[in-house]
Amino acid sequence: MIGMHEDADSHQACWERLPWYANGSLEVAERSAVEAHLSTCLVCRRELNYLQALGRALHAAELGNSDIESGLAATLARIDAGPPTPWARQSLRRRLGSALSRLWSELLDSAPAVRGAMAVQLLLLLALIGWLFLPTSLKTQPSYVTLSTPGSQTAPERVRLGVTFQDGATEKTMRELLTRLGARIVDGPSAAGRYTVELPIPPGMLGPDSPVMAGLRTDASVADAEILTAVPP
Amino acid sequence: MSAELIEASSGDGADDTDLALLRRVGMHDRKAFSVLYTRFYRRLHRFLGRLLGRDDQVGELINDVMLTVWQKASDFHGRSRVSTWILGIAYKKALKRQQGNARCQEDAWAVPPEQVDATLPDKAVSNVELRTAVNLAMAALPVEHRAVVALTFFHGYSYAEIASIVQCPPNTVKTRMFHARQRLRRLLPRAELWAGAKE
Repeated sequence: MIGMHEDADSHQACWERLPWYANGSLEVAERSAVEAHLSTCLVCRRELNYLQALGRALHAAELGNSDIESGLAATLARIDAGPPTPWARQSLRRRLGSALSRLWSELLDSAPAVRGAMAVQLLLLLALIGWLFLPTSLKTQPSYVTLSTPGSQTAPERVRLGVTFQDGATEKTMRELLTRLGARIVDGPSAAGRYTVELPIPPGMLGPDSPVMAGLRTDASVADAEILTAVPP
Repeated sequence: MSAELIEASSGDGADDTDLALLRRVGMHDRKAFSVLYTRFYRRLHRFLGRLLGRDDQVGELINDVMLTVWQKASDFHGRSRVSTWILGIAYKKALKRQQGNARCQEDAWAVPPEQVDATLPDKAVSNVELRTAVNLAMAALPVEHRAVVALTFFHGYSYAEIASIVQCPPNTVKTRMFHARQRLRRLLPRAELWAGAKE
């Protein structure tokens, strides 16, 4: 069984090396192994004959030549025209212009479906860039409707507070406070430095004078705290 | 061995000459460049012609390749043979040109295999028919397989050198040749008739 595997392996190894045995480029060890196998394998010998004939047929069908002198003259003329400035030394503006020019050329050369797909991608990219640079105030519309506003929704589960921290408050103190309250920042800071903080407390349990609000106002890191609105479920 | 195969297997002598010329090209020696251009022209023409299948672009591409050789000669560090390095440049440029041709639907080699089967004669009666049949058979191969066939049968490179030229592992070269042989065997089953092969 092992011998059969070895024979199959050596046959496969010889078979795949035959083109390079035919062109005489195999290393000595490989050439010897192929020759040893060829002496016992009719299939490989026939394949070798075919490959040698194929090589001769390919050579016989060689393509024509063009004019070497004019080609050399044209290349020397391009050399005399001067080398292009190495890319690394070009100004950023020039590199960008060159890259955009190449991109535009490739776009014009591409198939209509590709052009369409690239146009859609470009629009999405521009929309994303526009969104990223959009002022924060335009992205979200914080609602400063208080709990006393008529028509407030029923059965809210969370409350939003407006919290302004002291100037010297560190990220650590802010984080510790929010963690104690089980709260999270959902917006801000506004131009006035106020954060919108959401608390998981039913509004019926949170009033302006409640212990939570009193605790916030007396916290050393908090400058001001105000109930903003109830968050609908 | 045929004269054409000598170009790759002549080994150190030819490569020493190429290396000396390339070093002078790196110092912007125009005369050395002209000699190097002439030495490599036919080889590049044969290789690029087989890859692109169209004469109108081969000359221009040869000039592109040799211009790159002029510009980058001083970057050659001798880790491979000069011919391997130059053909590697040619291969990359040919692939890029081939992609451009395919986008513009100008691929002269875009012949479906079923058409190749239908047009091959049982036996070539003239060099024109032989050339047509062989070109059509090569057209049925993907460009990467064509490169391996051309570098093996036309240029006499070892599979290790071909791996260096086309920048892939040696086993990938063998795999590409395996598939190319299968297809060529099917398309050119009687190559021995055309080439006057000896049994």
